[in-house]
Amino acid sequence: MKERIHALLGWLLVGLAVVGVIGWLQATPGSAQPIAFDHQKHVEGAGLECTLCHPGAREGRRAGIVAAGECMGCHADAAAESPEVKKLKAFADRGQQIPWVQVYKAPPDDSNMFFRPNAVRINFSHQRHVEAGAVDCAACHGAVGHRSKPVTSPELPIRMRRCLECHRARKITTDCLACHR
Amino acid sequence: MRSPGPLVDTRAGDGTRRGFLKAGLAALAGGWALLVRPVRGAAASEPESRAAEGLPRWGMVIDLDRCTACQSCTAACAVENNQSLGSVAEAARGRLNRWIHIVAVPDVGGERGGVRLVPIPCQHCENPPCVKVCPTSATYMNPEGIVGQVYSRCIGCRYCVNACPYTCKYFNWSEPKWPGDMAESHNPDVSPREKGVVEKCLFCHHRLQRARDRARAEGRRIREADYVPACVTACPTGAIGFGDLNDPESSVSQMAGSPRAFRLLEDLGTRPKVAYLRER
Repeated sequence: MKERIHALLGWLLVGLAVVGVIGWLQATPGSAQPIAFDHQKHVEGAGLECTLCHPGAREGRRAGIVAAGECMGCHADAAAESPEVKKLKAFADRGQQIPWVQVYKAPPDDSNMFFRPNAVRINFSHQRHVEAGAVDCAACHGAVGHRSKPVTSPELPIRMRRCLECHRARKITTDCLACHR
Repeated sequence: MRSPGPLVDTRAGDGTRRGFLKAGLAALAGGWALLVRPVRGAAASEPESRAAEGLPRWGMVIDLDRCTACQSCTAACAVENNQSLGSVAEAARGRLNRWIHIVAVPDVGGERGGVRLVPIPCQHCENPPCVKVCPTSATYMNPEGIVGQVYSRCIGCRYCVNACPYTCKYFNWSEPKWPGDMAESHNPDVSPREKGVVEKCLFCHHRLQRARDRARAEGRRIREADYVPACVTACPTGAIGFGDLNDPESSVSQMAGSPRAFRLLEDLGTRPKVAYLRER
């Protein structure tokens, strides 16, 4: 009798573990991008600046992303036969925005706030970091320029711990009000 | 004759028991000294150490002689800080959140009689009672003397709302709502506060940050006119002065040193950084 109960409990544990693993795999961010954009080709191959396609990082609060029409400035000729560029051309011809999936968010979607998941609000300014602080894009975003596969999850996690490490090292304010308000 | 009780060790003489008590008291006193002294010491020397570091200490002076109680400051503050509109029903229940509000004080025994109307923002006390009671350190005093409120840390216990003798902390009783496209015109530098958190005046801290950004871009130090809260800019009679109290040359420190200057509920020992100038 006792053995049977133990066996039952054991199988129950195994079952829970399997469900957990499946759930974890399902939850792992794998947001597919509409076009398999190759950062490596653009940054290392063509030598483009990050801010060419992500304007506003120097001047504004947010770093943007250019419209499909802007890409066609080069891609009317460059690699015009590639299937991904054909997808791009289709968006541009229809005058549509490419529905890119935003990957870097502050705070991140998996922010560990249990009770009030939308409660973390951060006043982040790209201008303050990129222009005034002369921080390299890769310091927060990781080596995206080396990446040839489309970016579906952050290269480096966006975490307050990492903000603070850098702020302390550079002797920048760590006052709560500077970011949370 | 001693009556031996079940919990009293009758074998020990009076002397040893007294000795034990003495030792216990000494240990307690020692613990008290260890625990309490450093904290008190730090609190007492904080403003002085800040002055030594050359940090500013932001303060405000409100001239009641010039103030006409028009509430321009209240409106400007509400717009600047994305304050929830509220409703008539909420206002009737005292649940309208306006970070600078006009309080009617009966002028008892004064020359004029009647009612004196006093605009009251957060007093940004040097010894803030709200900070002492916050269980999550959501409210704290920053190195420049601004009493901050970190909304993502606030658990909405409202201890601070009750602790504040100036009634300058506001609880969000409902989710903020704005009609139509109004939310589109929000100030992007100030986050909206959701239901269940306490909010307060931060001396328009985002304006300080903006002023610092501008000064840095122009390669100079921040000037007095660079950082002015919204209520100060809106005041039509120039009744509100704002600036660095650590700078003896600043207009606000000179106004605060006026013989007309007084602070609200001074006897509580909160040492507010908002001073008022008495009517002449």
